[in-house]
Amino acid sequence: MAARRIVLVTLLSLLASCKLQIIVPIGGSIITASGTYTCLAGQTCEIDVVDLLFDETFTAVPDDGYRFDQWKKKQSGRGFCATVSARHSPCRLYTSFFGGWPNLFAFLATDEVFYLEPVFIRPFNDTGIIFGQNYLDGNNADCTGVTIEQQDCSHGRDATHKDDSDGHAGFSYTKLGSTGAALPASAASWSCVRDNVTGWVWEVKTDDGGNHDKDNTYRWGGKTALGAGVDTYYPDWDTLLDGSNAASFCGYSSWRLPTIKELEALANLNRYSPAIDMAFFPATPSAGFWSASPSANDSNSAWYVNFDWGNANDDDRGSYRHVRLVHSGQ
Amino acid sequence: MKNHLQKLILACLLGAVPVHGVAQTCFTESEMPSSTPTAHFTDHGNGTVTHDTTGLMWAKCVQGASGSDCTTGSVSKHTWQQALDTAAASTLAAYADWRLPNMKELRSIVEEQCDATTINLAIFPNARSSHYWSASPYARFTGVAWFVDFYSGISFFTDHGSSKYIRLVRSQP
Repeated sequence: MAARRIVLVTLLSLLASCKLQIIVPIGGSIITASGTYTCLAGQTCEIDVVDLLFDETFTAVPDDGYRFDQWKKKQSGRGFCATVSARHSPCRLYTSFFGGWPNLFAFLATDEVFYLEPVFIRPFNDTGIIFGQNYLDGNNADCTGVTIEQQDCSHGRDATHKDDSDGHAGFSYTKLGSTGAALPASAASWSCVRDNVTGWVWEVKTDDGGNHDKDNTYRWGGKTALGAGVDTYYPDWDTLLDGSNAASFCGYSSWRLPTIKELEALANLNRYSPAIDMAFFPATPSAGFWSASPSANDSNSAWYVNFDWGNANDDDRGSYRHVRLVHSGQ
Repeated sequence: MKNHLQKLILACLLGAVPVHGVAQTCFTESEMPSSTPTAHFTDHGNGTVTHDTTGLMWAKCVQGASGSDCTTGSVSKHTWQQALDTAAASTLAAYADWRLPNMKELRSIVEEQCDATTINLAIFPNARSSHYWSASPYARFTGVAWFVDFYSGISFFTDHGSSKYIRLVRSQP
């Protein structure tokens, strides 16, 4: 032990140290149990590991809409916590046992850099497709057809989550009441639906002539539209947005328009007219729904999903289309 | 101003095959942030890239091309049947579980910030600014499957016999 202390003092005097670089991608942050270190999305943080007293537990905290997947493997085995046995977060890193391993102990005296890099994944929905096709002719009732192992129906959540009680095939939905309370799938009336795969909460349209009525249409570009400073905006949907926020609709007061990819998550391509799960989203017109995404095609167009077919397309911002509000986060 | 779908249908009716040069136009980051930023990808240096936010591994090059800038080899278009069979036969980077992507997977690499090649060209160099088959059949009609037009970024569907490019995907373990 005395010998180790001498070595340690020598190391400190040389100011050499092994470095731990924490690289945090978009989608979350890293915090430590001690509170000493916090590394936010998009940041790279460096920690000196100089002695046998280092002991920290790192937790990967995903942002809204993301989940922690794994610690990234880096070249030459330099990704900490990336081994199969320790891929989970939180991950504890301590050096007290390095004394018994000359190779590890030697690292403390070098300028070697190791990495701690979380991988955050944003879950997205499957297509809903559970049927196969023959080549050129024939839609089959089940997952059979030409080179079937390569067709959509053979892969993804739709192939592994066949229970329809929470939504068609791989979709998983929960009905919510007007104050946000979760309701059973058998509930006869509900105001919103939570997508359990993506975590997003969606407005359910009504047929009562009110603010949420299925027949209300809007030109593009009210509040929460994306594309800062990009040309034409019409504030038509602000009444729906402001009204929903003021009413704390389904318990939330920060509703917004979905991005084009978020909106496409609702498309159920196993059906058409409309291409959506009607058991959870009744009163859905077979028509276009605006997203918040502007189109780079030209400054007067924006993206929408046509729920007649389930396709994404762009159109002039002056067109009157439907909208479905989304909420994410707490 | 015609939208992309109208232009596409018009081109099909006229029997025209649109040929697009790489003249990508994009919003600036402050106007509209990238939906598939380079930082979200890991290039494995063996013809494959992983999209960290979806966990999907993609072929870096359109099927038929290879090399670090995807300029080697000969790229050809495929019918839907040929696309399915080509995916099944691929052993790119020694993986045997390549697939033709489904419609939502294929759309996950559409770059919303751009037009006239709606894909991140730093990650997918020399990408064809055209139609790519998905593995998703179309429910309404028989003999029709979905594709993504990476020129405009729209999704649409067409006859199985139509010839289109393919980009393979695999689910990582």
